[in-house]
Amino acid sequence: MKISNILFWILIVVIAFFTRFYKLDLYPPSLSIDEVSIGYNAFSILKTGKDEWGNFLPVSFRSVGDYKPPILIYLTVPFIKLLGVNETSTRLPIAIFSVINIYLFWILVKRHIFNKKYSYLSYLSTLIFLLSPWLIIFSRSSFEAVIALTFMLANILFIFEFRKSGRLINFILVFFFAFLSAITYHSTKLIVPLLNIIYILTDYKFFLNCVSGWYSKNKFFLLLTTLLLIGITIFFVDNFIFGPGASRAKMTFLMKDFDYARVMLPVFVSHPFSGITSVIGLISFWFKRYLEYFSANFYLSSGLGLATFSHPGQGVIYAIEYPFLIIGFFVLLSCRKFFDSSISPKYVNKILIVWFFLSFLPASITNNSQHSLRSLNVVPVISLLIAMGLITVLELSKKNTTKYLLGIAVVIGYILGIIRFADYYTLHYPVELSETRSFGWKQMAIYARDHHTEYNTVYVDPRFGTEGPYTYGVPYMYFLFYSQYSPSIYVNDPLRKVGRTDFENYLFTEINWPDINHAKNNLYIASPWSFPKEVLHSDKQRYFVPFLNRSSGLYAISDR
Amino acid sequence: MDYLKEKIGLFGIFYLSLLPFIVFSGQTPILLFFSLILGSSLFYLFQKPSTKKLLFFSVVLGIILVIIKPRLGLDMGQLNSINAQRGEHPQFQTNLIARVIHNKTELVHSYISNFDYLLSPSAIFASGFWHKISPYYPLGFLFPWDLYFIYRYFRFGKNDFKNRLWILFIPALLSLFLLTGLVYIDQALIFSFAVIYFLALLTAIGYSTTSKKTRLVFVVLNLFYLLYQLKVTQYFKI
Repeated sequence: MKISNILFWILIVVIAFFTRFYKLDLYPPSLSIDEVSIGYNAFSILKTGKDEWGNFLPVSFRSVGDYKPPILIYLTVPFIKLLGVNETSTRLPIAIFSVINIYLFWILVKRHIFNKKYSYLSYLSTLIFLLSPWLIIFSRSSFEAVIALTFMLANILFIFEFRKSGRLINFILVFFFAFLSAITYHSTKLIVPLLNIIYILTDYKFFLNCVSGWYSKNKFFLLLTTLLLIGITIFFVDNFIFGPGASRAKMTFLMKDFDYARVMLPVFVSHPFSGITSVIGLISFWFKRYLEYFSANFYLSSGLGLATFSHPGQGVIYAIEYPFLIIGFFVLLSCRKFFDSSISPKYVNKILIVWFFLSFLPASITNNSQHSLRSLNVVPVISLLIAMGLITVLELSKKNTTKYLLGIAVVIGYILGIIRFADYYTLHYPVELSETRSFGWKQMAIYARDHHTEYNTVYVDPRFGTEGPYTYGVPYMYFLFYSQYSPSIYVNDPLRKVGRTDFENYLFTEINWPDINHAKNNLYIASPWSFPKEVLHSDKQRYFVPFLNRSSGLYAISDR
Repeated sequence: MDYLKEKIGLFGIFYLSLLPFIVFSGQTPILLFFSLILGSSLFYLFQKPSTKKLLFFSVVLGIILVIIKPRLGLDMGQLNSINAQRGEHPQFQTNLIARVIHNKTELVHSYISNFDYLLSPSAIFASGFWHKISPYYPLGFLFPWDLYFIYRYFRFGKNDFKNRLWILFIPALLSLFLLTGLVYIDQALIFSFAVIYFLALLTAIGYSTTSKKTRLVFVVLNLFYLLYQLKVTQYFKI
């Protein structure tokens, strides 16, 4: 190994440590609803083999009704066993997979994307991929999309290996990683099968040749493999496309989008030709949502949403990268000189174009505009485009002085971009969006864990927020998580059978102060608008957790 | 006109006179005329760049600026947000990072927002009439399928991009981009429509790379699409 290679990998390891692992339990500052749910379900699997609803080793976790994909929860189990139920053990699997992503990306670009003349683009694009703010923020929280990306990268890596060697084992690995990716996250259920089908169809003659070769070599093994693949496909379709795993897709489908369902649809259905107007309206609305992923604000201002709506925020890439991304995009469409020719530069080009345009499809057919998590699969291609754009500009500059000046400008741009991103991620994001990240429930859960035996009943109102009772959380999960309440008792509680979440003396329900019997000594945990003004800040107030922007917070009030 | 006829044919001329952004623009004829002149001069500059054409473009742009007297369209209310974010830093008065990051350069976000309203791909092809019809109604300044014909222009059009004098064209395009995001939004429409008309001219040549049958199909499709949108938007008074 050359010294430059060793230095490169030392740099990668140092940056990966600081961006993925350093103060993992503190940034972001509180576990989200999904994270506590994943952590407690993993704890429940560890202790009982069942999820929080008592289902034995489920393929979809009912959780809070969103039927979570299973892979991340099962992968979290050993970390819970080793480190206990806490923030680090819940987030560590994703951070580790994020590092695996970097290595897989490196292998992919080094072996299959760039040719020898431009091999330095592999280093550059890996560095851009590593530093991507898009990837960093999702690598520090429990997001299945990061693991799905790992399996997708492995899938694409083996597509190239298969195309080069034509070996059956590589084709089986293509299939294996495609399934793993598809069952890990909802977006990849759509994009990975589509990608694989398109790759096979664009080169179907090669595929048919391979199949006839395998058939003549070993008929029995081919038959067995085919049956196995068909069996896995049926299992996948049954459980994840039509089964309970599809419920999340139904919940988030484009037709449920607020702009469409509440604003446009009522207008369309009142038309005499409502059938036609609704269908054309929905297709046009999808097209609008798809094209929104090509707007400048997604890349420069608001893509990652690290600030409140009206404030300047953080885009999914650094500002310095944007011009190079645009140039790289046109280079991808018009030029193949960078690409590896061991299969053909055209094949590499085709794979990248299909990958790029399909990556925004799952996000565009669901609710919410410009969803950076659902479009995470595109980050590897974006990193390649930025690297290609940068090198194209450097090649266009004929004088060495211009090249040096450009290089210095790019480095300064990156330094400023990283400082700005770090500032938003570590300071403004926690402060401005603490409420949406369910800040406060952890502190309340710990307070209640230590004091709940002093009260008859602990009422917890699931509604929270500054504006009023409009946001519903799942506080019971925080109380279970931070008290490490025994899953074997919880899953066998008869209340669970009827869908209740209460345990011990906790009651998770909306608090209507005048209707409650205050003769007993109860504790109430809720937002300020659940209480009469006179009890707030009185001697009945036991605890208060303000949101980090001080706009409001959570109160614990007792009867006596 | 002869140039257009030769390059894009009758279909192209028919297409250019029935563009959604012309039909639904709500602009006064004179302002629309300015946009078309500016867009055409940008197109000719792109086709065969020359100093004369750049000069003509600059003169047209100068006249328009004198006539409309542009006002700054950046949202100055954002300064409060920027100050609020600076205030979130401990010791924000002396904190170097707070000073470097949170200052007037952050107004660029307001520019980006203005620009996206008028010239993002989504506005051009899918939902541009937020100010005249509805922010939600999916109707673009151009037809949705025009995106494909722009691609065809670059892919199949007889172009020689390598020999172009980009140094003449790019500043002209950038000046329109800059004005689109910087100027008060009702005035910025003139500049954004000029860019859109430039794209429409490229699209018209893109159409000419297809067969006659395809062009005929798209004549009918474009007409039906426009009639449908006229009917729907008028019926609902969105």
